[in-house]
Amino acid sequence: MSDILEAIVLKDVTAGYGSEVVLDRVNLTVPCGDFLGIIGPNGGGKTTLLNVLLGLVPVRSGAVSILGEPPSIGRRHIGYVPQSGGHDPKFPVTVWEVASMGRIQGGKLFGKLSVRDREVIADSLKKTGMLDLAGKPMGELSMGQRQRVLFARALAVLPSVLLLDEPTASMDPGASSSVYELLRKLNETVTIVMTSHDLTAVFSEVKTIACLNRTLHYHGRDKLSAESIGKTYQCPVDIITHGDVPHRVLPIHRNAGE
Amino acid sequence: MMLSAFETGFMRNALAAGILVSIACGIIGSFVVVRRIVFISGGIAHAAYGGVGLGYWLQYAVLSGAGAAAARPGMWPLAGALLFSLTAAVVMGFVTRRGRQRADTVIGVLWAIGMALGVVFIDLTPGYKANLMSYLFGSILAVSSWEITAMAVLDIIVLLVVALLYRPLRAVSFDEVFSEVRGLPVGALHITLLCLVAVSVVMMMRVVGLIMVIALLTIPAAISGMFNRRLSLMMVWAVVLGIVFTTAGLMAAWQWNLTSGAAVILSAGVCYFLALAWKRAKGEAN
Repeated sequence: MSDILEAIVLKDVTAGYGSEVVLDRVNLTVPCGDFLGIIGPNGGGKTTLLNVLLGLVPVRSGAVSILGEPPSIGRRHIGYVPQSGGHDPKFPVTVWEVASMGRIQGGKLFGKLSVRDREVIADSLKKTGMLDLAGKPMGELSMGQRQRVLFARALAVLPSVLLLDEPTASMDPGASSSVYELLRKLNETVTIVMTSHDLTAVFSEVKTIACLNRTLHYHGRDKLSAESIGKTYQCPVDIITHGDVPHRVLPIHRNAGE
Repeated sequence: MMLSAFETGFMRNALAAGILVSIACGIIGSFVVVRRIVFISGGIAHAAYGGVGLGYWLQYAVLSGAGAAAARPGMWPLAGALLFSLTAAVVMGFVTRRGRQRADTVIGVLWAIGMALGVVFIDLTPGYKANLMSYLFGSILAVSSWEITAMAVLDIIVLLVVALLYRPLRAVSFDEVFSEVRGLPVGALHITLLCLVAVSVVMMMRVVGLIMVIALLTIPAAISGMFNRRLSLMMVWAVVLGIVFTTAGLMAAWQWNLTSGAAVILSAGVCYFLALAWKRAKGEAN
């Protein structure tokens, strides 16, 4: 992948369900090595955008490429971490078994886990701090731990691109800061795209920010203006807090006046 | 006195049928429970009755009710049931892909049409029809030797397919979206699983009847699922429980002259609620 500089390219992408248009002419380029945070209101199209990248929702017009390939092929390079809470907590499956699902490959339907597969799975569980609980049933874990297992499953793909949907939504602050620490480390070799409600975390952790509400309102590396947040959320926002950790300096909030 | 019952040939056949059916039932039933396709499985089971009727009618129309049919009674209805249940499985597989809206309506309609077809075919067939009740309510005591062989063959098919596709089937059951992103043929696996349900249903038809198939398919797996936190173990214990329930039901049917299928289901049902109560008492609401 060294000769491809763009991990993700969306050109004039329009997509939706039935008669409803959820994404309207979205243009987005994510260079390899980027760490992109996508913010925006509920129903603004964040999840749809991820589904387009994963080849699960077809585009009506425009073009999508993942490392130079269409999503249905390029998605094999993607490690996908869905929002936690989507799985049946009673499903009889262990931590190790879930992580091993990252080693699934469409072409190898009948294969067993190789020694290499086992190493990758163990390593992924170790990175997410779940190796000690490998034999535990998923149903006996906390929400935060379950999310870590889904994280390990995505890492077991050995992805070039990590896609995360609200990765810290179910975590307490301590757990989520350790997730960001892990993401920062992974970002040395992997391109990361995540959606989030947690503006504070997004501003302090990511390299690039995109505001999505049907269309892409802002995308860049500079500081985010109150105006573009206002456009995205259709109302003035004052959620940005400042703590001990240095955050991005943001201009003083003024009425975006929509 | 009980032991002497098993010295007779038909009792041995009945026991063997119970064991063979429990194998497919425990394995496929576990998938049915964790994948939550109980309703679809019920639809497949009832649609199979159309095939029973068709087979019964063909047996009369083609063979004039004599000759080959007399050699292996029940072969045509069994083949018809297999044809109908597999067809229903494929159709329902397509309809339920991707959580299409109103899929449950389509399942309900196929369910009823299958049964109605069976009734009409049987109306068209003249003659004595009392033994048709056995397809609805089961008659494990009337299982013949060739049927045991057929069950064994179907068991081997089920075991082989699940052994080959265990990991992909488990992955799809746990997380369809992730499996699709990893390139698994999610739709084909879904339909494969429903076809395995169809095969299991036809086997179970002789033991508990089509109407009660769904109970035997789900109860052993559901009880096993309360105590096991791995799919493979859930399957093993579901098989064991299935054998216990069919044997217990068989003995009760023999002892008190009850309908065998109902006796099997009741023994399973009682254990299900006992297990639930025990879980509750331990403070683990299920």
